[in-house]
Amino acid sequence: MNKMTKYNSLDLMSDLITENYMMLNILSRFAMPLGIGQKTIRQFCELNDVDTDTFLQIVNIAADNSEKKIVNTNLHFPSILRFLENSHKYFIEFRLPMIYDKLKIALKEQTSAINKSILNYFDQYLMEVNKHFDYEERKVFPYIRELINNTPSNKYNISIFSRQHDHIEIKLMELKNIIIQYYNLQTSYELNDVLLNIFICADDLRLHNEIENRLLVPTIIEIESKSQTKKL
Amino acid sequence: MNYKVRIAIAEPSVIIRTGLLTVLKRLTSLSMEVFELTEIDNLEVLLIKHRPDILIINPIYLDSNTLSALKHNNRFASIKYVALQTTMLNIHLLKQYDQIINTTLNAEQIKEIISKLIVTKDNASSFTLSEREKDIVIAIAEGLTNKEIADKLHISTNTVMTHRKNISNKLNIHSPAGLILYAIANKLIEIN
Repeated sequence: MNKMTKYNSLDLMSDLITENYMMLNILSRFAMPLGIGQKTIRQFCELNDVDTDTFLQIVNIAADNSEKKIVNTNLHFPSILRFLENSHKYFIEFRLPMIYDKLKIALKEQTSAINKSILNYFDQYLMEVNKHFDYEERKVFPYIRELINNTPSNKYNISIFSRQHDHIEIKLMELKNIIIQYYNLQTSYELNDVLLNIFICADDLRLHNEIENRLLVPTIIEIESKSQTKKL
Repeated sequence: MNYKVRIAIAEPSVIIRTGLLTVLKRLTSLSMEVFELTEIDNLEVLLIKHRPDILIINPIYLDSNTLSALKHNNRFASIKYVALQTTMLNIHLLKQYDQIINTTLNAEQIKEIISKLIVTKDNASSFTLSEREKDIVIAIAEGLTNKEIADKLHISTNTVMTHRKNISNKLNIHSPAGLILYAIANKLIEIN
């Protein structure tokens, strides 16, 4: 299911996906279609105007469970930023509302006071995620675009972001733990479904964070220091 | 309770690290899960991710101030810190650690050190709340501040904070919102 190997451009795209189904999300965030046939990763990336190295870098972070930081100043930043923005959209517009709806249905059968509190908790969580993503889109991504184009207009730097960048998946994990460990609910297909969705979503959010923390931030720090020395 | 103690090893030398890993894995009489931490540039992130019960670490990664900060942080206070001593080290630094393992120990001695640290973990009471801790959870769920809780229960703010730390560790719930859910689910409080 989740084979931990490093992929290269000559591997088959279909191997990548069947060996680790979470890769399907990565494909869709690069706006790549299915129907991958027997194409290699490079062939399929080129066919869809996706930068192969950037794609591989992200795929390999997803496939590698370490904490290794990666500095790669050859990243194609428009691709990676579009990828991150698409992920935000996916969580905010699709995955989290879906979990919310499923929670409502799963809890409806149970008449207890806690259900409203769980939905409140989730509501609050949605607002926090929104705030977290909104900050990145308003402040961080525009800054990166300016930096890459050599036109940084303000005094922002990436360490301001990395210092306050919280682990947005933790509260979601906590909700799941509370339901599983402390809430004496009758299980149902609906409840299991929502829990499985939370597991997947939390993993996905963690990966999203890892791409920012392990790849984007260290790479931007490197570019910042280079542009500093250039100025001096 | 079949709880596997999670032991993390942070040591720059691959020979020493994997050596210790092998020794620990041979101690089959202890129920544990051992793993290596590499790329130690952000220890806190690693600890959040891997949640070790015992961290065996070369003190070059963990100076005195950082160790004391970790011990005072709710999230990391329950971790047992073991110094992996491979060179001469300042005795004051070593004293801050719960235990010391050095390279001259044999397997039996290492086992004894680890056993000492995990005695309390098997105890079921380490997962259930005391009556006092329940009072604190209720007060948190009512939205009281640490100061207000201290006044209400006639204890010091420091004691409240210690209780909160223990509660978080026992339940693995760290946010007030999560504690409210816990309180409701366990009928400690009622909501209208």
